[in-house]
Amino acid sequence: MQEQGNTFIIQQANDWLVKLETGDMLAGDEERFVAWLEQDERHGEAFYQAEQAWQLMHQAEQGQPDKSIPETNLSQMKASWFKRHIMPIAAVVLLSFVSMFWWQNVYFSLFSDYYTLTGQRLEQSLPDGSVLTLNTDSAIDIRFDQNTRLIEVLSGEVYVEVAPNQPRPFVVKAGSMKVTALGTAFIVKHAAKQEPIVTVTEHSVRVESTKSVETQLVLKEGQQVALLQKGERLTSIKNVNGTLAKAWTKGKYVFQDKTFETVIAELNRYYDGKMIIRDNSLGKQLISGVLDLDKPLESLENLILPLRAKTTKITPYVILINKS
Amino acid sequence: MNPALQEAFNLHQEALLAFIKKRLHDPQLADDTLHDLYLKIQNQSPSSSIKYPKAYIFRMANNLVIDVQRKAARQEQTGDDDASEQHNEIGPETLVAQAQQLNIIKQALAELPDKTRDVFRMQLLQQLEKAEVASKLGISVNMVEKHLRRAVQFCRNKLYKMEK
Repeated sequence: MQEQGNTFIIQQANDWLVKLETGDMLAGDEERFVAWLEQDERHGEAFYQAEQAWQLMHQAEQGQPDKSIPETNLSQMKASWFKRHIMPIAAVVLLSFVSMFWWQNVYFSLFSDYYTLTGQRLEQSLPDGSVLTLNTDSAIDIRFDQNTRLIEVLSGEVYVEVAPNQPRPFVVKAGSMKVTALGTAFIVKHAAKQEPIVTVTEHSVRVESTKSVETQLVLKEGQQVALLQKGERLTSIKNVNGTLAKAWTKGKYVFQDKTFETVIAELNRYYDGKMIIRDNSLGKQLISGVLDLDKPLESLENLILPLRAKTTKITPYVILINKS
Repeated sequence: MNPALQEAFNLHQEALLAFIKKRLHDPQLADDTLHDLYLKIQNQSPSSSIKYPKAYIFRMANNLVIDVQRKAARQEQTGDDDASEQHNEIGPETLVAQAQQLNIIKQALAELPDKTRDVFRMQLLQQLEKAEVASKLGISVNMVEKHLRRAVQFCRNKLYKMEK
């Protein structure tokens, strides 16, 4: 989980840098910044990197470094340090097969407040005490002000635990689906090219379409519904097991009587490459079990044992699954 | 010597030392680094107006601490007692590295979406306040802030590849 902590710290550092440099500090912010900087060595390191980036951005545009910010003393750095830390251009070319995944991540990292990469999970506390858990490959925007608590799920899957007893409504949007919390916990999923889906694990929510006034219902605990793009209609309510639905927040996938291909499709979400089933009959076999989503390759190996299947790696990122 | 900085240093000297000590551990090294910070402040031009002096000196302290740590790590690795390092000279290798970094950022800026780059440039080159940038581009101040954050995030990630 260390990488997820680092992603959050990096975002905090960038946010502080922009606040300090673009004159956005409110009363007490300067103290808060210093306290944050003092809190953890990683904060210091992340902020240093943000400052360096800003220095260079300044230099690139103006032809000289920004004199108004503390010097980061680049003269102390040795070339080998950069070689280890900066991705060589050649590696970008090698990734051409999986480049569609990479660019997808880059696209959403430009347009979201928080995001996760493939296989990453991120828990994020909000200023009101609510907690968001982002699943693999997810990107969200957050807008909190005195009237609203609004989250937009740009892509991926988010588990929302809403802090209760607040006058401001808590709203989550995904595409044209708008979910208003009437209680405490639910999941919103907005996979690329698929309908947004909401699942309630605790209490209830109101589900509406921002494009059609007639579309709305109250969804209760253990219920799931999707918003169809055609006609902005909601599908019929599906009953689900809330505990199973949110098992991913603890890094587990629990399934009962699902086809092998469904399980592999799910596992693929957490794997930075592609697992392909070559055998149709193998794909249709029903299985049950529990998988560790933080170790997708290990999970795959455990999965195929009872099925008497085998895997073949054809490139560093593509795995074929066959009957042995 | 910048009076605002000098005042901030005097006011927060103990906190600064504690901050440095927490990161460097060695008390002698911490003292030396605090002294370096003091000298650096002396060398600051008096005319530069610093908006947030307390934040500024802690940023300076943070940078110094990291430089010290990196120097120590390098010397450990290479057993290097290079005379040029000791005199803080910039060797040819370092100049190349700096140029590489600048190129990465130049490329990153070129890859930004047009709007994001425009917001960044306006704020930087024209030294416009966010409200002015917002009204010029017909977007909210919130969006301006978003664009700036994205620009920094993108460039920072190019410089330091996102580790998984």
